[in-house]
Amino acid sequence: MDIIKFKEKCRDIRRIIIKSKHRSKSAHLGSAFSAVELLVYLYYDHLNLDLTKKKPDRDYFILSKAHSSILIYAILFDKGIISKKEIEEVDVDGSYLGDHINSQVEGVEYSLGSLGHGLSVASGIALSSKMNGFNNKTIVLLGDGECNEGMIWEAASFAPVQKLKNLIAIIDYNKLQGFGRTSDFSDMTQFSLRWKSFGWNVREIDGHNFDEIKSALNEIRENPDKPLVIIAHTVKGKGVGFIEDKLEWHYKSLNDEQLQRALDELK
Amino acid sequence: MRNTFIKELTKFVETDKNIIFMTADLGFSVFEEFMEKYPNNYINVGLAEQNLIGVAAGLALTGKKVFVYSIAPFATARCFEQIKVNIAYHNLDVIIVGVGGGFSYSKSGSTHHAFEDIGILRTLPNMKILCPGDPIEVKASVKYAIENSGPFYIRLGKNKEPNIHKEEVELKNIISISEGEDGIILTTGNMLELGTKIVEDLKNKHGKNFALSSCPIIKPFDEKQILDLLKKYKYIFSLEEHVKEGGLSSLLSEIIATSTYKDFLFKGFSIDHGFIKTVGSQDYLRDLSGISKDKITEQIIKILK
Ligand SMILES: Cc1ncc(C[n+]2csc(CCOP(=O)(O)OP(=O)(O)O)c2C)c(N)n1
Repeated sequence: MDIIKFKEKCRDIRRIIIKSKHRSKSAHLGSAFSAVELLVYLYYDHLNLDLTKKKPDRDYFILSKAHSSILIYAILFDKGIISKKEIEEVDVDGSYLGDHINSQVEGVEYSLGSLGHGLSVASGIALSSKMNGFNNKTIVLLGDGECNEGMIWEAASFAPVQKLKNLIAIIDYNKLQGFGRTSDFSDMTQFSLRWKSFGWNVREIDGHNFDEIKSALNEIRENPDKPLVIIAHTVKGKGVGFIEDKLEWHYKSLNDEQLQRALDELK
Repeated sequence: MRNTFIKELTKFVETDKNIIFMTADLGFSVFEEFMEKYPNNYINVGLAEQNLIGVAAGLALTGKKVFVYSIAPFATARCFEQIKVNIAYHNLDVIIVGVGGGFSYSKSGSTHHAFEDIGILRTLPNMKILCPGDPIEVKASVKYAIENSGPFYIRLGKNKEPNIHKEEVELKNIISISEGEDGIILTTGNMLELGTKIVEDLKNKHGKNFALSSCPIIKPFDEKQILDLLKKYKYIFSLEEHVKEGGLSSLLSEIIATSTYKDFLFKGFSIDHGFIKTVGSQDYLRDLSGISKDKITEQIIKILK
């Protein structure tokens, strides 16, 4: 994938997301937008996907910040896995597509919604792959606010001593969480040092930059037998000016006029 | 319910600065005013429910009265052992407030449904459980929790529940809403409104006159009040947005089993479904799990025949 295609794809995905959120009136628009570049690179380039979930040695992706489900659903729609009717019926009575990631949906590995669980589950998958001698990887996307949770740090201790080199945690570091800025609840100045001191390979990147995402995922690591964490600096709501870096867009839904303005920006 | 809750709590904090309110990263567009007015009585611990309970325990141990708040599953199941060991065992003044009882967060999926919260917390010694049925009962619950001591769980709905009571009430195990002679329907928490509709349907469509009562205090429960009802009514039905195990239906069954008097029929209506993997409105999920107005009314009519 080249950078031009990448940018087009990110724009398309944001357009699908914003139309869906406008229809469903559900929350978490900003949360999905901050990770578009990361997920587009993973799903269109990096991951060795098997969306039928049949090959045991496929790459695994776990959406720990599960309230960004629409981002995965938009990608699966774009790939033809989810139908037009299904994506138009997000949140409708009887749909599998709701506000949190659901493994009833084809191509989704694991259901979540309560924050803090994903790194442990991903560690278990990576451990299993290691036991089976597979040459695959497991990638998990975490929120920065989610890293308040104690369970994240239990897994953070576990993975390096188990030498889970096949595990990659990506943190969508958008500086906002549910009811405040992440730095209100945790001293983030030494965030990467924290992971380093737990034994992880750490890369800090601009999470909207194609080259930086690519190199972080592909370059040789300092400690080749240890897991990798990518701290991706992002902007919550990235891509639409009036939505960027505002807590309210964790909750608000777009009216018709705002939808139009957003789509105009995403041309 | 949550707006009523914070309004009522604010009133008490005005005169009692010993009350502390804690949240775990929730409360956008609800708590801002409280935060600004009483910054010294407000703490957001971030996304850390286990820490929320532990810190609350420390505050309560040293004399504070502490309210903690999150979405119901994250305020209960997520930190259950902290509640058991840090709070209940030490019988501390911590009031856990869970927003979104039952299917209130219907579109958020199973992780956000609180269908087992009453059941798990009922097992804890010292824990008292309040499930207000309308905003008026929310007000009474806040007052009740503040005026009494020890740990509480207050299970709120979400928002926009209408008032069913016409005036202020005092919190009790059983509060009568309306009279009737053919039987009685007992509801707990956010099923109260549905209860009024079922009673109306039974009357208007089927000519049956049922009494309706709300049960906002689930624990402790004065068993005699239930045993007395058995002699007064031939049919007793209960409604809850919770699984049968551990909830109101289970509580009533436990009490009724001790009765020597047998000339009555009891049936509890509870969530009857495995993990729900689809989403939709709260009414849709109620219907799916057998506790919508129509499904309950239909079953009651069958039983009466
Ligand atoms: C255990 C738990 N507590 C609370 C919530 C409610 N909640 C959903 S998203 C969110 C904020 C998440 O912030 P962050 O991890 O930084 O993700 P962002 O949306 O900023 O990308 C909260 C508090 C939850 N889903 N799970």
